[in-house]
Amino acid sequence: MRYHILQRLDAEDNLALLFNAYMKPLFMLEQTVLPRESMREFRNLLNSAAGLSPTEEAAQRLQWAPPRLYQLCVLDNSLTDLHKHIHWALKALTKFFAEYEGDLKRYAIETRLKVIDEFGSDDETDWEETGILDEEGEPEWKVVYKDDEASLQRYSLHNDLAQHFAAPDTMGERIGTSKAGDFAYFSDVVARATSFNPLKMLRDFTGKDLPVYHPNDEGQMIPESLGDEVERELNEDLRNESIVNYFHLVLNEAQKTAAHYHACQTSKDFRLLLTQLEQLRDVCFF
Amino acid sequence: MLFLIFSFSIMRPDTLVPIAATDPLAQLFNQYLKGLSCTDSLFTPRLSMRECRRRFQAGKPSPTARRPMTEYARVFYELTVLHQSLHDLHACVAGAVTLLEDFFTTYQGDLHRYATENRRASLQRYQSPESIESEDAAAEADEFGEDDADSLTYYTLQHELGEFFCGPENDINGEYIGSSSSEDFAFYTRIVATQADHTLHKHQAAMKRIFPTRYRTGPNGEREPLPLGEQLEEDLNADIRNARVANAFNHVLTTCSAAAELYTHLDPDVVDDYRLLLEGLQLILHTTA
Repeated sequence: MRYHILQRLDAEDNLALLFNAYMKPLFMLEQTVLPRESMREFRNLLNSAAGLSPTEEAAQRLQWAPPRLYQLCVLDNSLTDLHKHIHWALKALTKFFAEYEGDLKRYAIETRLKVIDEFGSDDETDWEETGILDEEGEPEWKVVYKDDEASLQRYSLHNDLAQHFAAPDTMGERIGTSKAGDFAYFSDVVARATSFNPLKMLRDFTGKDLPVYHPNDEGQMIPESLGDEVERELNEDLRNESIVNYFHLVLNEAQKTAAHYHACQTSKDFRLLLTQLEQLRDVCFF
Repeated sequence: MLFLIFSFSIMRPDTLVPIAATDPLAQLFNQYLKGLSCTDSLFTPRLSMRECRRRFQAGKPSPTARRPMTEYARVFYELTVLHQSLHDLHACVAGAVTLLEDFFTTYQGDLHRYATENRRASLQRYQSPESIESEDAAAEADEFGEDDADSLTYYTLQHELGEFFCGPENDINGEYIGSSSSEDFAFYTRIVATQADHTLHKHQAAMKRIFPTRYRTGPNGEREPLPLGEQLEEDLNADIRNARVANAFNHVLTTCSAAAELYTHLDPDVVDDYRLLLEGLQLILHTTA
Protein backbone atom coordinates (compact mmCIF):
# COMPACT_ATOMS: atom_id res chain seq x y z
CA MET A 1 0.00 0.00 0.00
CA ARG A 2 1.43 3.36 -0.98
CA TYR A 3 0.63 6.38 1.05
CA HIS A 4 -0.73 9.45 -0.71
CA ILE A 5 -1.03 13.03 0.46
CA LEU A 6 -3.00 14.54 -2.41
CA GLN A 7 -6.43 13.09 -3.01
CA ARG A 8 -8.57 14.09 -5.94
CA LEU A 9 -11.94 15.55 -5.00
CA ASP A 10 -14.70 13.08 -5.60
CA ALA A 11 -17.23 15.48 -7.13
CA GLU A 12 -18.35 16.59 -10.57
CA ASP A 13 -18.96 20.31 -10.14
CA ASN A 14 -16.74 22.86 -11.89
CA LEU A 15 -15.04 23.91 -8.68
CA ALA A 16 -13.96 20.32 -8.00
CA LEU A 17 -12.74 20.01 -11.60
CA LEU A 18 -10.70 23.18 -11.20
CA PHE A 19 -9.19 22.01 -7.90
CA ASN A 20 -8.38 18.61 -9.41
CA ALA A 21 -6.76 20.28 -12.42
CA TYR A 22 -4.71 22.43 -10.04
CA MET A 23 -3.61 19.35 -8.10
CA LYS A 24 -2.69 17.30 -11.17
CA PRO A 25 0.74 18.84 -11.85
CA LEU A 26 1.47 18.63 -8.11
CA PHE A 27 1.42 14.82 -8.11
CA MET A 28 4.95 15.00 -9.55
CA LEU A 29 6.04 17.15 -6.60
CA GLU A 30 4.31 14.74 -4.24
CA GLN A 31 6.38 11.88 -5.62
CA THR A 32 9.61 13.74 -4.89
CA VAL A 33 8.73 14.65 -1.30
CA LEU A 34 7.01 11.45 -0.15
CA PRO A 35 9.35 9.49 2.13
CA ARG A 36 11.01 6.48 0.54
CA GLU A 37 13.22 5.70 3.53
CA SER A 38 13.03 2.87 6.00
CA MET A 39 13.14 3.85 9.67
CA ARG A 40 16.88 3.13 9.75
CA GLU A 41 17.59 5.18 6.64
CA PHE A 42 15.72 8.09 8.18
CA ARG A 43 17.71 7.77 11.46
CA ASN A 44 20.91 7.75 9.39
CA LEU A 45 19.72 10.79 7.48
CA LEU A 46 19.05 12.66 10.73
CA ASN A 47 22.41 11.64 12.12
CA SER A 48 24.36 12.60 9.05
CA ALA A 49 22.58 15.96 8.91
CA ALA A 50 23.21 16.85 12.54
CA GLY A 51 26.14 14.67 13.57
CA LEU A 52 29.80 15.57 13.99
CA SER A 53 30.48 15.72 10.25
CA PRO A 54 27.21 16.80 8.64
CA THR A 55 26.88 16.01 4.96
CA GLU A 56 25.36 18.58 2.66
CA GLU A 57 23.22 16.04 0.86
CA ALA A 58 21.46 14.90 4.05
CA ALA A 59 20.98 18.47 5.25
CA GLN A 60 19.49 19.44 1.92
CA ARG A 61 17.07 16.50 1.86
CA LEU A 62 15.91 17.32 5.39
CA GLN A 63 15.53 21.00 4.62
CA TRP A 64 13.67 20.33 1.44
CA ALA A 65 11.37 17.35 1.81
CA PRO A 66 9.68 17.57 5.26
CA PRO A 67 8.43 21.19 4.97
CA ARG A 68 7.10 20.48 1.49
CA LEU A 69 5.41 17.29 2.58
CA TYR A 70 3.77 19.21 5.42
CA GLN A 71 2.70 22.06 3.14
CA LEU A 72 1.38 19.65 0.56
CA CYS A 73 -0.75 18.07 3.26
CA VAL A 74 -2.02 21.52 4.26
CA LEU A 75 -2.80 22.22 0.61
CA ASP A 76 -4.81 19.03 0.32
CA ASN A 77 -6.74 19.88 3.51
CA SER A 78 -7.36 23.41 2.25
CA LEU A 79 -8.80 22.41 -1.11
CA THR A 80 -10.94 19.65 0.41
CA ASP A 81 -12.23 21.87 3.22
CA LEU A 82 -12.89 24.88 1.02
CA HIS A 83 -14.87 22.72 -1.39
CA LYS A 84 -16.88 21.17 1.46
CA HIS A 85 -17.61 24.49 3.16
CA ILE A 86 -18.88 26.02 -0.07
CA HIS A 87 -21.20 23.04 -0.57
CA TRP A 88 -22.43 22.99 3.04
CA ALA A 89 -23.15 26.72 2.98
CA LEU A 90 -24.97 26.29 -0.34
CA LYS A 91 -27.04 23.45 1.08
CA ALA A 92 -28.04 25.46 4.16
CA LEU A 93 -28.97 28.51 2.07
CA THR A 94 -30.90 26.50 -0.52
CA LYS A 95 -32.87 24.85 2.28
CA PHE A 96 -33.54 28.25 3.81
CA PHE A 97 -35.11 29.56 0.62
CA ALA A 98 -36.95 26.35 -0.19
CA GLU A 99 -38.35 25.38 3.22
CA TYR A 100 -38.61 28.73 4.98
CA GLU A 101 -39.30 30.82 1.87
CA GLY A 102 -36.58 33.26 2.85
CA ASP A 103 -38.26 34.14 6.18
CA LEU A 104 -35.39 34.80 8.61
CA LYS A 105 -37.59 35.00 11.71
CA ARG A 106 -39.49 31.79 10.95
CA TYR A 107 -36.17 30.04 10.36
CA ALA A 108 -34.86 31.10 13.76
CA ILE A 109 -38.09 30.22 15.62
CA GLU A 110 -38.35 26.76 14.10
CA THR A 111 -34.63 26.03 14.43
CA ARG A 112 -34.79 26.95 18.13
CA LEU A 113 -37.70 24.57 18.78
CA LYS A 114 -35.95 21.77 16.89
CA VAL A 115 -32.55 22.22 18.53
CA ILE A 116 -33.89 22.45 22.10
CA ASP A 117 -36.20 19.49 21.54
CA GLU A 118 -33.24 17.40 20.35
CA PHE A 119 -30.35 18.62 22.49
CA GLY A 120 -32.19 20.03 25.55
CA SER A 121 -31.75 23.30 27.37
CA ASP A 122 -30.76 24.24 30.93
CA ASP A 123 -33.05 27.26 30.91
CA GLU A 124 -36.25 26.40 32.83
CA THR A 125 -38.31 28.99 30.96
CA ASP A 126 -37.74 26.98 27.78
CA TRP A 127 -40.03 24.19 28.96
CA GLU A 128 -43.74 23.90 29.75
CA GLU A 129 -46.11 21.05 30.55
CA THR A 130 -48.35 19.87 27.75
CA GLY A 131 -51.13 19.04 30.22
CA ILE A 132 -51.13 15.43 29.09
CA LEU A 133 -49.82 12.56 31.23
CA ASP A 134 -47.63 9.90 29.63
CA GLU A 135 -47.97 6.11 30.13
CA GLU A 136 -46.30 6.22 33.56
CA GLY A 137 -48.54 9.02 34.74
CA GLU A 138 -45.75 11.63 34.55
CA PRO A 139 -46.54 15.02 32.99
CA GLU A 140 -45.20 15.50 29.45
CA TRP A 141 -43.03 18.53 28.63
CA LYS A 142 -42.63 20.54 25.47
CA VAL A 143 -40.48 23.43 24.31
CA VAL A 144 -41.97 26.89 24.92
CA TYR A 145 -42.62 28.98 21.79
CA LYS A 146 -40.58 32.16 21.88
CA ASP A 147 -40.09 34.83 19.24
CA ASP A 148 -38.25 37.62 21.05
CA GLU A 149 -34.91 38.77 19.63
CA ALA A 150 -32.80 37.70 22.61
CA SER A 151 -33.99 34.06 22.69
CA LEU A 152 -33.62 33.67 18.92
CA GLN A 153 -30.17 35.17 18.61
CA ARG A 154 -28.34 31.85 18.85
CA TYR A 155 -30.56 30.20 16.25
CA SER A 156 -30.32 32.70 13.40
CA LEU A 157 -29.33 31.70 9.88
CA HIS A 158 -26.31 33.98 10.18
CA ASN A 159 -25.19 32.03 13.22
CA ASP A 160 -25.70 28.66 11.54
CA LEU A 161 -23.57 29.73 8.58
CA ALA A 162 -20.74 31.12 10.72
CA GLN A 163 -18.82 27.82 10.79
CA HIS A 164 -18.27 27.97 7.03
CA PHE A 165 -16.75 31.45 6.80
CA ALA A 166 -13.41 32.84 7.86
CA ALA A 167 -13.39 34.94 11.02
CA PRO A 168 -10.60 36.02 13.35
CA ASP A 169 -9.41 33.29 15.74
CA THR A 170 -10.60 30.38 13.61
CA MET A 171 -8.28 27.59 12.61
CA GLY A 172 -8.43 25.45 9.52
CA GLU A 173 -9.55 26.40 6.04
CA ARG A 174 -12.92 28.09 5.53
CA ILE A 175 -14.42 30.27 2.84
CA GLY A 176 -12.19 33.34 2.63
CA THR A 177 -9.40 32.17 4.96
CA SER A 178 -6.48 32.01 2.54
CA LYS A 179 -5.56 34.44 -0.20
CA ALA A 180 -4.02 33.70 -3.58
CA GLY A 181 -0.60 34.76 -2.26
CA ASP A 182 -0.66 31.99 0.35
CA PHE A 183 -0.64 29.41 -2.43
CA ALA A 184 2.16 31.20 -4.32
CA TYR A 185 4.67 28.34 -4.06
CA PHE A 186 2.30 25.70 -5.42
CA SER A 187 0.77 28.01 -8.04
CA ASP A 188 4.27 28.59 -9.36
CA VAL A 189 4.86 24.82 -9.63
CA VAL A 190 1.55 24.40 -11.48
CA ALA A 191 2.20 27.27 -13.90
CA ARG A 192 5.66 25.92 -14.77
CA ALA A 193 4.65 22.24 -14.78
CA THR A 194 5.67 21.67 -18.42
CA SER A 195 9.33 22.40 -17.68
CA PHE A 196 9.26 19.83 -14.84
CA ASN A 197 8.14 17.14 -17.27
CA PRO A 198 9.87 13.86 -16.31
CA LEU A 199 10.54 13.01 -19.95
CA LYS A 200 12.43 16.28 -20.45
CA MET A 201 14.47 15.63 -17.33
CA LEU A 202 15.32 12.21 -18.68
CA ARG A 203 16.38 13.79 -21.98
CA ASP A 204 18.64 16.28 -20.21
CA PHE A 205 20.02 13.52 -18.05
CA THR A 206 20.75 10.99 -20.82
CA GLY A 207 21.56 13.56 -23.53
CA LYS A 208 19.54 11.43 -25.93
CA ASP A 209 16.72 12.36 -28.25
CA LEU A 210 13.71 10.55 -26.79
CA PRO A 211 10.73 10.96 -29.09
CA VAL A 212 7.12 10.89 -27.92
CA TYR A 213 4.83 8.61 -29.87
CA HIS A 214 1.20 9.30 -30.69
CA PRO A 215 -1.21 7.13 -32.66
CA ASN A 216 -2.20 8.55 -36.04
CA ASP A 217 -5.57 8.14 -37.74
CA GLU A 218 -4.78 4.58 -38.81
CA GLY A 219 -3.76 3.64 -35.29
CA GLN A 220 -0.05 3.48 -36.07
CA MET A 221 2.36 4.92 -33.52
CA ILE A 222 4.34 7.74 -35.07
CA PRO A 223 6.94 9.95 -33.36
CA GLU A 224 5.93 13.51 -32.56
CA SER A 225 7.73 16.16 -34.59
CA LEU A 226 9.54 19.01 -32.89
CA GLY A 227 6.99 21.47 -34.22
CA ASP A 228 4.11 19.44 -32.76
CA GLU A 229 5.90 19.13 -29.45
CA VAL A 230 6.50 22.87 -29.18
CA GLU A 231 2.87 23.51 -29.98
CA ARG A 232 1.64 20.92 -27.47
CA GLU A 233 3.84 22.35 -24.72
CA LEU A 234 2.70 25.86 -25.51
CA ASN A 235 -0.90 24.70 -25.17
CA GLU A 236 -0.09 22.96 -21.89
CA ASP A 237 1.63 26.08 -20.61
CA LEU A 238 -1.36 28.20 -21.53
CA ARG A 239 -3.74 25.73 -19.93
CA ASN A 240 -1.75 25.53 -16.70
CA GLU A 241 -1.46 29.29 -16.54
CA SER A 242 -5.17 29.60 -17.04
CA ILE A 243 -5.83 27.06 -14.26
CA VAL A 244 -3.70 29.09 -11.87
CA ASN A 245 -5.46 32.31 -12.87
CA TYR A 246 -8.91 30.83 -12.30
CA PHE A 247 -7.77 29.29 -9.03
CA HIS A 248 -6.63 32.70 -7.83
CA LEU A 249 -9.88 34.20 -9.05
CA VAL A 250 -11.84 31.70 -6.92
CA LEU A 251 -9.77 32.59 -3.84
CA ASN A 252 -10.27 36.31 -4.39
CA GLU A 253 -14.00 35.85 -4.90
CA ALA A 254 -14.14 33.70 -1.75
CA GLN A 255 -12.65 36.63 0.17
CA LYS A 256 -15.38 38.92 -1.12
CA THR A 257 -18.06 36.33 -0.38
CA ALA A 258 -16.82 36.02 3.22
CA ALA A 259 -16.86 39.81 3.60
CA HIS A 260 -20.39 39.89 2.22
CA TYR A 261 -21.47 37.14 4.62
CA HIS A 262 -20.36 39.15 7.64
CA ALA A 263 -22.48 42.08 6.42
CA CYS A 264 -25.57 39.96 5.65
CA GLN A 265 -28.71 41.12 7.45
CA THR A 266 -31.79 40.84 5.27
CA SER A 267 -33.20 37.96 3.31
CA LYS A 268 -32.15 39.82 0.15
CA ASP A 269 -28.55 39.85 1.38
CA PHE A 270 -28.65 36.10 1.85
CA ARG A 271 -30.10 35.67 -1.63
CA LEU A 272 -27.05 37.52 -2.99
CA LEU A 273 -24.78 35.30 -0.84
CA LEU A 274 -26.41 32.23 -2.38
CA THR A 275 -25.77 33.61 -5.87
CA GLN A 276 -22.13 34.33 -5.05
CA LEU A 277 -21.60 30.80 -3.69
CA GLU A 278 -23.25 29.30 -6.77
CA GLN A 279 -20.87 31.32 -8.93
CA LEU A 280 -17.94 29.92 -6.95
CA ARG A 281 -19.22 26.37 -7.42
CA ASP A 282 -19.92 26.83 -11.13
CA VAL A 283 -16.67 28.62 -11.98
CA CYS A 284 -16.09 28.30 -15.72
CA PHE A 285 -12.47 27.74 -16.60
CA PHE A 286 -10.62 27.58 -19.94
CA MET B 1 -4.26 22.81 22.05
CA LEU B 2 -5.91 19.40 22.10
CA PHE B 3 -9.27 20.99 22.74
CA LEU B 4 -8.81 23.22 19.69
CA ILE B 5 -8.04 20.27 17.47
CA PHE B 6 -11.13 18.36 18.49
CA SER B 7 -13.42 21.33 18.01
CA PHE B 8 -12.88 21.49 14.23
CA SER B 9 -15.81 20.77 12.02
CA ILE B 10 -13.65 18.95 9.47
CA MET B 11 -10.72 16.86 10.48
CA ARG B 12 -8.08 15.34 8.33
CA PRO B 13 -7.86 11.66 9.15
CA ASP B 14 -4.75 10.93 11.16
CA THR B 15 -1.51 9.95 9.49
CA LEU B 16 -1.21 6.60 11.24
CA VAL B 17 -3.87 4.46 9.60
CA PRO B 18 -4.23 0.94 11.04
CA ILE B 19 -3.26 -2.09 8.98
CA ALA B 20 -6.26 -3.81 7.42
CA ALA B 21 -5.43 -7.42 8.33
CA THR B 22 -6.46 -9.75 11.11
CA ASP B 23 -3.26 -11.67 11.87
CA PRO B 24 -1.61 -11.17 15.29
CA LEU B 25 1.30 -9.14 13.84
CA ALA B 26 -1.12 -6.64 12.27
CA GLN B 27 -2.94 -6.42 15.63
CA LEU B 28 0.35 -5.77 17.42
CA PHE B 29 1.40 -3.08 14.93
CA ASN B 30 -2.05 -1.50 15.21
CA GLN B 31 -1.76 -1.41 19.00
CA TYR B 32 1.62 0.25 18.56
CA LEU B 33 0.16 2.82 16.14
CA LYS B 34 -2.74 3.45 18.53
CA GLY B 35 -0.23 4.19 21.28
CA LEU B 36 1.10 7.02 19.13
CA SER B 37 -2.31 8.56 18.42
CA CYS B 38 -1.66 11.55 20.68
CA THR B 39 1.60 12.39 18.90
CA ASP B 40 -0.20 11.80 15.63
CA SER B 41 -2.99 14.27 16.45
CA LEU B 42 -0.49 16.93 17.45
CA PHE B 43 1.64 16.70 14.34
CA THR B 44 -0.83 15.93 11.54
CA PRO B 45 -1.31 19.29 9.78
CA ARG B 46 -4.65 20.98 10.36
CA LEU B 47 -3.77 24.58 9.59
CA SER B 48 -5.20 26.72 6.84
CA MET B 49 -2.85 27.54 3.98
CA ARG B 50 -2.67 31.12 5.20
CA GLU B 51 -1.67 30.20 8.75
CA CYS B 52 0.79 27.61 7.44
CA ARG B 53 2.58 30.11 5.19
CA ARG B 54 2.63 32.71 7.96
CA ARG B 55 4.21 30.32 10.44
CA PHE B 56 6.79 28.97 8.02
CA GLN B 57 7.77 32.51 7.07
CA ALA B 58 7.97 33.65 10.68
CA GLY B 59 10.52 30.90 11.25
CA LYS B 60 10.33 31.14 15.01
CA PRO B 61 7.67 29.61 17.26
CA SER B 62 4.43 31.54 17.61
CA PRO B 63 2.72 31.99 21.00
CA THR B 64 0.25 29.16 20.23
CA ALA B 65 2.86 26.74 18.87
CA ARG B 66 5.78 25.99 21.10
CA ARG B 67 7.92 24.47 18.37
CA PRO B 68 9.23 25.96 15.13
CA MET B 69 7.38 24.82 12.02
CA THR B 70 10.42 22.95 10.69
CA GLU B 71 10.19 20.65 13.68
CA TYR B 72 6.47 20.05 13.12
CA ALA B 73 7.32 19.22 9.51
CA ARG B 74 10.15 16.88 10.52
CA VAL B 75 8.02 14.93 13.00
CA PHE B 76 5.17 14.70 10.49
CA TYR B 77 7.63 13.39 7.90
CA GLU B 78 8.99 10.88 10.41
CA LEU B 79 5.47 9.71 11.31
CA THR B 80 4.86 9.15 7.60
CA VAL B 81 8.06 7.10 7.43
CA LEU B 82 6.97 5.11 10.47
CA HIS B 83 3.50 4.53 9.06
CA GLN B 84 4.89 3.23 5.78
CA SER B 85 7.51 1.16 7.59
CA LEU B 86 5.03 -0.80 9.64
CA HIS B 87 2.66 -1.31 6.70
CA ASP B 88 5.51 -2.44 4.44
CA LEU B 89 7.13 -4.65 7.05
CA HIS B 90 3.83 -6.38 7.74
CA ALA B 91 3.24 -6.88 4.02
CA CYS B 92 6.76 -8.35 3.62
CA VAL B 93 6.39 -10.83 6.49
CA ALA B 94 2.91 -11.89 5.36
CA GLY B 95 4.06 -12.12 1.74
CA ALA B 96 7.13 -14.22 2.54
CA VAL B 97 5.08 -16.60 4.72
CA THR B 98 2.47 -17.06 1.96
CA LEU B 99 5.18 -17.72 -0.62
CA LEU B 100 6.99 -20.27 1.55
CA GLU B 101 3.79 -22.02 2.64
CA ASP B 102 2.79 -22.27 -1.00
CA PHE B 103 6.20 -23.75 -1.78
CA PHE B 104 5.77 -26.47 0.84
CA THR B 105 2.15 -27.30 -0.03
CA THR B 106 1.70 -26.75 -3.79
CA TYR B 107 5.25 -27.70 -4.78
CA GLN B 108 5.82 -30.12 -1.89
CA GLY B 109 9.19 -28.57 -1.15
CA ASP B 110 10.64 -29.37 -4.58
CA LEU B 111 13.01 -26.48 -5.40
CA HIS B 112 13.63 -27.48 -9.01
CA ARG B 113 9.95 -27.99 -9.76
CA TYR B 114 9.17 -24.61 -8.19
CA ALA B 115 11.74 -22.81 -10.38
CA THR B 116 10.70 -24.46 -13.66
CA GLU B 117 6.98 -23.97 -13.09
CA ASN B 118 7.51 -20.44 -11.87
CA ARG B 119 9.52 -19.68 -15.03
CA ARG B 120 6.86 -21.10 -17.29
CA ALA B 121 4.05 -19.22 -15.53
CA SER B 122 6.02 -16.01 -15.63
CA LEU B 123 6.84 -16.36 -19.33
CA GLN B 124 3.22 -17.06 -20.15
CA ARG B 125 2.11 -14.03 -18.18
CA TYR B 126 4.43 -11.64 -20.00
CA GLN B 127 4.25 -13.22 -23.44
CA SER B 128 2.52 -11.32 -26.20
CA PRO B 129 -0.97 -12.70 -26.89
CA GLU B 130 0.06 -13.92 -30.38
CA SER B 131 2.82 -16.22 -29.17
CA ILE B 132 0.55 -17.80 -26.55
CA GLU B 133 -1.92 -18.66 -29.28
CA SER B 134 0.75 -20.32 -31.41
CA GLU B 135 0.80 -24.01 -30.78
CA ASP B 136 4.54 -24.38 -30.61
CA ALA B 137 4.91 -21.89 -27.77
CA ALA B 138 5.52 -24.68 -25.27
CA ALA B 139 7.85 -26.47 -27.68
CA GLU B 140 9.76 -23.24 -28.21
CA ALA B 141 10.16 -22.76 -24.51
CA ASP B 142 11.61 -26.25 -24.26
CA GLU B 143 14.04 -25.46 -27.05
CA PHE B 144 15.41 -22.53 -25.10
CA GLY B 145 16.45 -24.91 -22.38
CA GLU B 146 14.02 -24.71 -19.48
CA ASP B 147 15.96 -26.86 -17.12
CA ASP B 148 19.49 -25.56 -16.97
CA ALA B 149 20.52 -23.57 -13.92
CA ASP B 150 21.29 -20.41 -15.90
CA SER B 151 17.82 -19.85 -17.29
CA LEU B 152 16.29 -20.62 -13.89
CA THR B 153 18.42 -18.07 -11.98
CA TYR B 154 15.69 -15.44 -11.81
CA TYR B 155 12.93 -17.91 -11.00
CA THR B 156 14.34 -19.73 -7.98
CA LEU B 157 12.63 -19.59 -4.61
CA GLN B 158 15.61 -17.74 -3.18
CA HIS B 159 15.31 -15.08 -5.87
CA GLU B 160 11.55 -14.72 -5.39
CA LEU B 161 12.01 -14.29 -1.63
CA GLY B 162 14.45 -11.46 -2.30
CA GLU B 163 11.71 -8.87 -2.69
CA PHE B 164 10.77 -9.24 0.98
CA PHE B 165 14.24 -9.00 2.49
CA CYS B 166 16.77 -6.28 2.92
CA GLY B 167 19.84 -7.99 1.50
CA PRO B 168 23.22 -6.57 0.51
CA GLU B 169 22.13 -6.31 -3.14
CA ASN B 170 18.68 -4.94 -2.32
CA ASP B 171 19.62 -1.26 -2.46
CA ILE B 172 16.11 0.03 -3.15
CA ASN B 173 14.95 2.40 -0.43
CA GLY B 174 12.17 1.39 1.85
CA GLU B 175 11.30 -0.99 4.63
CA TYR B 176 11.89 -4.73 4.19
CA ILE B 177 12.49 -7.56 6.64
CA GLY B 178 15.71 -6.64 8.39
CA SER B 179 15.95 -3.02 7.17
CA SER B 180 15.59 -1.42 10.59
CA SER B 181 16.41 -2.54 14.09
CA SER B 182 14.46 -1.87 17.28
CA GLU B 183 16.83 1.03 18.12
CA ASP B 184 15.64 2.89 15.04
CA PHE B 185 12.14 2.93 16.55
CA ALA B 186 13.37 3.52 20.13
CA PHE B 187 12.01 7.07 20.40
CA TYR B 188 8.49 6.06 19.42
CA THR B 189 8.56 2.76 21.31
CA ARG B 190 9.22 4.77 24.47
CA ILE B 191 6.15 6.90 23.80
CA VAL B 192 4.07 3.75 23.34
CA ALA B 193 5.41 2.22 26.57
CA THR B 194 4.83 5.32 28.69
CA GLN B 195 1.60 6.57 27.08
CA ALA B 196 -0.37 6.08 30.32
CA ASP B 197 1.66 8.95 31.85
CA HIS B 198 0.14 11.32 29.33
CA THR B 199 -3.55 10.57 29.70
CA LEU B 200 -5.97 13.45 30.08
CA HIS B 201 -6.76 12.83 33.74
CA LYS B 202 -3.07 12.77 34.67
CA HIS B 203 -2.58 16.12 32.99
CA GLN B 204 -5.61 17.46 34.83
CA ALA B 205 -4.17 16.20 38.07
CA ALA B 206 -0.85 17.88 37.35
CA MET B 207 -2.41 21.17 36.34
CA LYS B 208 -5.05 21.50 39.02
CA ARG B 209 -3.04 19.71 41.69
CA ILE B 210 -6.07 17.60 42.52
CA PHE B 211 -6.83 13.99 41.90
CA PRO B 212 -9.86 14.06 39.59
CA THR B 213 -12.51 11.44 40.18
CA ARG B 214 -12.84 8.92 37.42
CA TYR B 215 -16.08 7.15 36.67
CA ARG B 216 -17.07 3.78 35.44
CA THR B 217 -20.33 2.44 34.14
CA GLY B 218 -22.11 0.34 36.74
CA PRO B 219 -24.11 -2.83 36.08
CA ASN B 220 -27.33 -0.82 35.58
CA GLY B 221 -25.74 1.64 33.18
CA GLU B 222 -25.30 4.42 35.76
CA ARG B 223 -22.04 6.26 36.31
CA GLU B 224 -20.34 5.61 39.61
CA PRO B 225 -17.04 6.96 40.91
CA LEU B 226 -14.08 4.62 40.75
CA PRO B 227 -12.45 4.00 44.15
CA LEU B 228 -8.86 5.28 44.44
CA GLY B 229 -7.48 1.76 44.81
CA GLU B 230 -9.09 0.66 41.58
CA GLN B 231 -7.86 3.80 39.81
CA LEU B 232 -4.30 2.92 40.77
CA GLU B 233 -4.82 -0.66 39.69
CA GLU B 234 -6.21 0.50 36.35
CA ASP B 235 -3.16 2.71 35.76
CA LEU B 236 -0.84 -0.10 36.71
CA ASN B 237 -2.56 -2.47 34.31
CA ALA B 238 -2.36 0.09 31.51
CA ASP B 239 1.37 0.47 32.15
CA ILE B 240 1.88 -3.28 32.06
CA ARG B 241 -0.20 -3.63 28.89
CA ASN B 242 1.73 -0.87 27.10
CA ALA B 243 5.10 -2.21 28.22
CA ARG B 244 4.12 -5.57 26.77
CA VAL B 245 3.24 -4.00 23.41
CA ALA B 246 6.62 -2.23 23.36
CA ASN B 247 8.49 -5.41 24.30
CA ALA B 248 6.69 -7.52 21.72
CA PHE B 249 7.40 -4.87 19.11
CA ASN B 250 11.12 -4.85 19.91
CA HIS B 251 11.08 -8.63 19.82
CA VAL B 252 9.52 -8.61 16.33
CA LEU B 253 12.22 -6.30 14.97
CA THR B 254 15.02 -8.33 16.53
CA THR B 255 13.56 -11.53 15.08
CA CYS B 256 13.18 -9.81 11.69
CA SER B 257 16.91 -8.98 11.72
CA ALA B 258 17.65 -12.61 12.56
CA ALA B 259 15.37 -13.82 9.73
CA ALA B 260 17.12 -11.48 7.28
CA GLU B 261 20.46 -12.88 8.46
CA LEU B 262 19.13 -16.39 7.92
CA TYR B 263 17.97 -15.49 4.43
CA THR B 264 21.33 -13.98 3.47
CA HIS B 265 23.23 -17.07 4.58
CA LEU B 266 20.88 -19.83 3.47
CA ASP B 267 22.12 -22.48 1.08
CA PRO B 268 19.83 -22.03 -1.96
CA ASP B 269 19.72 -25.79 -2.57
CA VAL B 270 18.87 -26.96 0.95
CA VAL B 271 15.14 -27.30 1.57
CA ASP B 272 15.57 -27.43 5.35
CA ASP B 273 17.00 -23.90 5.34
CA TYR B 274 13.78 -22.64 3.80
CA ARG B 275 11.76 -24.58 6.35
CA LEU B 276 13.72 -22.94 9.16
CA LEU B 277 13.09 -19.54 7.59
CA LEU B 278 9.37 -20.27 7.31
CA GLU B 279 9.18 -21.31 10.96
CA GLY B 280 10.95 -18.11 12.01
CA LEU B 281 8.65 -15.93 9.91
CA GLN B 282 5.54 -17.74 11.17
CA LEU B 283 6.66 -16.96 14.72
CA ILE B 284 6.93 -13.28 13.80
CA LEU B 285 3.52 -13.27 12.15
CA HIS B 286 1.98 -14.76 15.31
CA THR B 287 3.62 -12.50 17.88
CA THR B 288 1.13 -11.08 20.36
CA ALA B 289 1.56 -8.52 23.10
